[in-house]
Amino acid sequence: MKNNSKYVDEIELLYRYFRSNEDNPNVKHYTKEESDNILIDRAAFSSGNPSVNRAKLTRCPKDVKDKPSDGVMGIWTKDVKAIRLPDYQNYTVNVKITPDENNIAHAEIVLLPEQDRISRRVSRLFRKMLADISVCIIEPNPL
Amino acid sequence: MILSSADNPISTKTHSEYYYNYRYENKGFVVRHLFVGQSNESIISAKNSILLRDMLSEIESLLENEYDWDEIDYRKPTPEDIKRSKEILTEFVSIIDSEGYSLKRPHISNFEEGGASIKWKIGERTLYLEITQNESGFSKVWRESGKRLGIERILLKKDYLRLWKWIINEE
Repeated sequence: MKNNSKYVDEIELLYRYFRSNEDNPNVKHYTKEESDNILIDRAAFSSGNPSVNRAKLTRCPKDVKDKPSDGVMGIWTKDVKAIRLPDYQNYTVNVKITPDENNIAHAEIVLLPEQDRISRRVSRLFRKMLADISVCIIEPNPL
Repeated sequence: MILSSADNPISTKTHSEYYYNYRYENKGFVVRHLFVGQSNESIISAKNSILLRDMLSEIESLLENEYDWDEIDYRKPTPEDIKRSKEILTEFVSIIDSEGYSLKRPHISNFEEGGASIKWKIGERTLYLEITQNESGFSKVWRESGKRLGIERILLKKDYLRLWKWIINEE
């Protein structure tokens, strides 16, 4: 069924890659806990609107990797939309459908209303909250 | 070195003394350490001191990390950032410890502004202390009524205990 809306309006899973440093295992965009649970770091979300792939339009989660050593995280759209910044109540968060000719699954997580420039403070907090709702699906494979 | 929190101390009370048997794990070696005749508070304090030492060492090591490998433009911490981070963390732990709380191992990294980010994630709550030479802040991220909420504030000494109680879900 074709989705004509600009934003993802159903509950969908999103994929995004996250990095490990192939040359230095001490610097990476995640933390592995003693329990082997992997926590995604906010550094995994670069500034601007984070790119994601809609799982239902992606053949396999590993297809979103940029490098073989990358990990892949999963994020549910309902968790994205549940983000609230009490100090900045005019903002909401959504998932914008932005396919391109090379990737029909491409989407972006956006703060609404969209602005050319978001304050560093808001941007920093936004990334922390995205990290908080992300779950590791494929563990990185450094070295 | 990792202090295994999963291993509860084996305690036997004899008169006013407690006998504790803690396990420390270091790269596969297990060393048994016996605390004899110490109060519960002093055992917690000893554990906190060990963990603080590890945390300070981890903060110090931020100076040696690479900062251009991922091209995300995070600033490299300065020695002054690190010095200030260690001072504030020591003060923070001192207050937690003086109230008898047992510290938990955080995740330490640099952050956007350089400095040190000290993060605890416990259940549905995440607390960040973010410290640079010139400013210190904290962030709380939590879940409430189906929403994911986040705030960021200036970190003041009077907040330390309240923040700790929040992250361990006592407040």
